[in-house]
Amino acid sequence: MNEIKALCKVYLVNTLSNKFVFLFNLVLPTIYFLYKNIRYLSQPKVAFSHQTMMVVSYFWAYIIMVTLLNNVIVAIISQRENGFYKQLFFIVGSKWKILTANFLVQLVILNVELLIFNLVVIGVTHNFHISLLIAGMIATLSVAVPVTFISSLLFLLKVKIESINVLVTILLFVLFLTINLPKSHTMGDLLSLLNPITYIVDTSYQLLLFFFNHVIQGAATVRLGIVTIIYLVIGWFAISKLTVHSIADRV
Amino acid sequence: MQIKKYSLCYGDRILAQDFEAEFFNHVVNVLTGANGAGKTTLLDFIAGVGPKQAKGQKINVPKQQNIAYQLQHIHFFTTLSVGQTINMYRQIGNCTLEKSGSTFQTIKRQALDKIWSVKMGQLSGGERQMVLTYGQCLLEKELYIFDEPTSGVDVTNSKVILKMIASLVQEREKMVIMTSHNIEQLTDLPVKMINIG
Repeated sequence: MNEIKALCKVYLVNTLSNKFVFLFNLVLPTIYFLYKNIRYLSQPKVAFSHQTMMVVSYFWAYIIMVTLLNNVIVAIISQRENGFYKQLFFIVGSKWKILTANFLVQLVILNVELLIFNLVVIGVTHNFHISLLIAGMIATLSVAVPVTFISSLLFLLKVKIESINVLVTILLFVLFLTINLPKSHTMGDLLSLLNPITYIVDTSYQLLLFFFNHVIQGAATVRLGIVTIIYLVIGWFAISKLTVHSIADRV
Repeated sequence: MQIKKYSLCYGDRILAQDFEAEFFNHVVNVLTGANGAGKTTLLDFIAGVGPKQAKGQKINVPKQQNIAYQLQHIHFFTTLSVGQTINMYRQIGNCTLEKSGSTFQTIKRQALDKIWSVKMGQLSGGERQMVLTYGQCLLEKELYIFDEPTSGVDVTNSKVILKMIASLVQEREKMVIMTSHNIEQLTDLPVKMINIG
């Protein structure tokens, strides 16, 4: 436990020293949200409809996915390539401690990011609803582990660090491009959830439905549960293959 | 601790064949050899992270979680200050060592206090190596591995680094393996030279 606490401090200092990343994770989506919804600022209180919940879910999905990919997965790949990961591995003696520490720090940052974004949403809609803040926090806590696990598949790629950022940008583009593929049957619904963006959107939407309308959609919740298990199993395999060896250089 | 029948081949290039070595905990075990002789790969093999091509028997080598391994030319987190880096090692390792060990106290007072708030990225290569070696020595492990700890380090800092490494053997009876090209720096230390390649 001491090791994880010590590493958390290291990762927190390191993350906060690179504030540019928050521009991509939080500032850009918030500006885009303001740009698309600025008209509501001059209007009276806006009710949280199904459409509002869906819009909010998409923004949460972007913030969660981009933060986890850049700050957890790409960060670990980068540390593996420059030797920090190997050095840390022999300080704490376990890759799980390194991954856990980095993940916990990013989980806190993610919650702060969503809190800021949700406060902007509340400001724009003039509708203060504590449920929005709670749903945001629970959505983050629910999807962060499975999404980090499935994203760990990137550990398996033999890609140089110079290429990984390009690859992640392409990956995000493809994931967002495929979120609205037609779903003609239950199996289609299930398969579409294999896209982590859709998974986050659906989980967020279900949570918002529950908090605002007290509705639980049983079939959708079961589908999300099945996909969560699939993500965890695949992710466990990917993480088990993570070694200290860099792809490009000998460290 | 022993290594037996250690072999390493990359295609037609044979770096080691049936190499054998015994390591002791009352001396600093120093691996020597030319560049490319496979010293770092042997350290990786001992630490359990060697390439698939490296084969051999390891006898009485501690478990991976009981090995501290200081890599060559690692800059570590450049945004952390020296104090933050040492505090991380203190929290993970045995912080009472600093209070009881005279070597730690002397080195901290003479070398580390003046750079305590400097960021790791702002340090020279030698200073970084000194800070990280100090941190490694704070860990409580069974085996300590140092890969070229004095490479590119000036004479004064090299003495400090080697003093810390020697204290692991002399004051705490730990097993230490290091690689070095600077044999002349080791004359005052209790060392066992092991030539590879």
